[in-house]
Amino acid sequence: MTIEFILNGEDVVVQTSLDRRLIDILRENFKLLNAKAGCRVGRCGSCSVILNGKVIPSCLVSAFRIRGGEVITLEGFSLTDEYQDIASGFSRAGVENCGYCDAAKILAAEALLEQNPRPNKDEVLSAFNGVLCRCTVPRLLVDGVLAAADIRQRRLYGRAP
Amino acid sequence: MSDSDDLNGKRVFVEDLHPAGLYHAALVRSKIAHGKLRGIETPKLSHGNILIRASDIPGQNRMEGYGDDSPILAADEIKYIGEPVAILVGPDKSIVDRLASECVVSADILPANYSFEKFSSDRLAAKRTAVFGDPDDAFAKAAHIVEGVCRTGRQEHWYAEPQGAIASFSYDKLEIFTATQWPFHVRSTVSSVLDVRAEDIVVHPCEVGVHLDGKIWYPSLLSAYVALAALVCRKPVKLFLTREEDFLFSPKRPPSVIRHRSAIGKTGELLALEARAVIDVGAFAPFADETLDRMCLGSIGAYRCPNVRVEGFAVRTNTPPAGPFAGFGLAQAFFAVERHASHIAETCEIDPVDWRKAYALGKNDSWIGKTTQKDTIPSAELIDSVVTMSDYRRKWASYELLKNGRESHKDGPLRGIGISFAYQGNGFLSHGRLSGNFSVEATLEKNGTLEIRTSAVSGSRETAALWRRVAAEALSLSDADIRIAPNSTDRVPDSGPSSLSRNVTVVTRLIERCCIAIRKQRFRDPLPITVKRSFRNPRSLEWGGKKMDYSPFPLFSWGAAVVEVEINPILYIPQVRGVWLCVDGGKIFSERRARSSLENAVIHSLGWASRERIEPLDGSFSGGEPIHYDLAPPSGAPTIKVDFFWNDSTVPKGIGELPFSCVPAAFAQAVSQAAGVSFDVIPLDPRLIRDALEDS
Repeated sequence: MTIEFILNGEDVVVQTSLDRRLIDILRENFKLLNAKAGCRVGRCGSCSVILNGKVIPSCLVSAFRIRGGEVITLEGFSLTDEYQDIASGFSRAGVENCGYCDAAKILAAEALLEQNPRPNKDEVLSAFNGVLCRCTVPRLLVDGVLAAADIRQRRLYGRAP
Repeated sequence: MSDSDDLNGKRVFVEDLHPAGLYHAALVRSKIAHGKLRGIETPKLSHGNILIRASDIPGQNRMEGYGDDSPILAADEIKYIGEPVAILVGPDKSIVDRLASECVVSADILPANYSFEKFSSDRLAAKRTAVFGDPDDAFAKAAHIVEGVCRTGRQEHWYAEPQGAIASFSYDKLEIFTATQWPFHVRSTVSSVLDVRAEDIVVHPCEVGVHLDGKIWYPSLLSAYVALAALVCRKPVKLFLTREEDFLFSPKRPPSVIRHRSAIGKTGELLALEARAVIDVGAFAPFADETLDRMCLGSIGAYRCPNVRVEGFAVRTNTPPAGPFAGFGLAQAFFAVERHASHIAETCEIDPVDWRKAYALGKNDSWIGKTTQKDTIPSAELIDSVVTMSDYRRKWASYELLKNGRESHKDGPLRGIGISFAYQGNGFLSHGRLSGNFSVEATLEKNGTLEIRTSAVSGSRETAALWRRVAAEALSLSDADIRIAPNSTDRVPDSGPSSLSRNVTVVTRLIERCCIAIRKQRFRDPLPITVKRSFRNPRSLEWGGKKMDYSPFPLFSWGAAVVEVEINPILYIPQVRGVWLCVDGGKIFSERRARSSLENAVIHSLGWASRERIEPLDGSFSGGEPIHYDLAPPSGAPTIKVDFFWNDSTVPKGIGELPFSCVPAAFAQAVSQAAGVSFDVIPLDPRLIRDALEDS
């Protein structure tokens, strides 16, 4: 079956069975390795991508669901200003992820900040509930996201929230 | 952790490696817990797919386990559900997985043992007994005798990436890519299994992430499978476990049952202590000696006691092999002995803080036959610090009043607070090759930069930063001038297993010694100057009742913790209101990193104490369980306050395992006060609390 979709801003075509998972298409067909297979049951978040504007676990998405849609992986997202906000915020707070959960944590932060530019501590923590990784202290994630929110506000409006 | 462990700016995971012409391996596993292997019936194998059995192993069918060797493939006897009996290898992963699942392992079933609390001597993987002083005489003179039994459960490491390995030939070398804490153990295992020279095998360690000691020996086993398959197929071969397969068959923290009995004097002093520790090591017991020694030492606690009798038993069962988990056996032991300390204080009607302060080890106190503790132990300072930070005394008194004035547990709030005092023993005790000659090399280059060569694998970037800092200080260089070489086994010396804070205590010292030696030669000899320094444990640990006139651990770190909880009277969930921790970690190079490392360990230790439950049923961790494994979500993280005992120490110590020894007992004590029921078991989940409250 031929599936056409937009991947990180480019029109792409892939020959695949309809029930193949998006994570396998991204990793095997396009060698986009930032999304990790992880648990393959949608629990750990390591396979997170943005599909049509929403962060989803790509291990639960069948090929037919991406037909005509837009997929952004961490590789694509890392070229954006929004990524720089989060990377700078994490760096400022001293967040040091293990590398395996990068897609999960960075895209979870983005999903939150897009919906809620000024989250509070509890909202930040809840945003990461779908990320199961032992690597980062929740306090640092809060500091990192709040710093990212601050940086984004300054970038967009020239002032802190 | 090396400076070039990033591939195009990204860390290298086994999952991401895909050499050209890659074949895939799948393990054919036993479905019975104990039996005599008769044969393996295979489906028709299409071209290119091969089944490899134990009889195909050219070398030894065993992996050195420092306590109990493990077979690579079951050859005769099957000992647990999931034990690998053959390897299926072929070019198409989905076909290989299907064929492996269609293989039928036939065996004559034998009786299986799943219980470890009652055991016969033929099931012992390791045993310890030791007597110091005269406990029987002390018990005869005791004013009180306090007894108790504590139980701890398994814990899954839940490292980020499931276990996996790749083997491929590069000219005359066999290259292994795996996420391991001990690259040279992988090399020696593969060398022994293939019966080839160790020098012909090159191990490239991949990113391990936060491993909690889950990647010490299991990667060696997986590497042996892919190496064997690569040898047979003459193709690169990858074996990468799914999260479920990893969860079901990889090692877990071993469960324990520890009994304590103590003789107490009129004023509450500890006259004698008896401890009997039993752990379930599963079908095979890699590192059983180390775990059991630590459990026995930890069971004695950190209190003055002139008469001690300690016994330890590592018992085999027909369950998947257990393995090291952060702290090895110390965490289980300190949970038990600290709960016992609280029971002693309760029996003597002394505040738990006052009892601990009065009898905690200090400088010049005797401990397990060793005449004196030469190092200063800031026990009173650490305890005072957490007591002040947490407002312990006021809260403890208030919650006692609340508890005593309550008619039923429905009359909330159900609040409690607990305290614990423990140590972390840094570095390995001595066992065979574990006490071997481990080294680090460093070269000061002509351009003034320094290259450090060590096989040590860090779970985080913190350790690499520490090494740079130490080297920079010793040689007056900037951190940017220091390079840590890639830690492939053909480029670095064996620095031993990266566990038990050895990266901080042993490797860091070796780096410092290298740099000091270079400093002495720097203006005398021409550059480049290369120096190698080695470490060997000074003495073997001796049990069997012999007097220990030395410290078994090269370094101790000390800590005290307070945990405050509130039990929800409807759902019985023990909500942690706060954790306070004060630590003597020696020289702290980065307070921010030390703090976050401790906070992370507090969260994982609370997970073990309160919610992470994994129990085998008839020898098997039931399928699908990774979905239900109850890791704490970030929104459930408590407020954690960490303080350090600042002193003029120049020696960095490991601290990352300390919370596993300190926090669970304090948590259980807090829940016990909140519920008005004594709990001596973890994980202490809502179901257990509900049952106890309703019974009471």
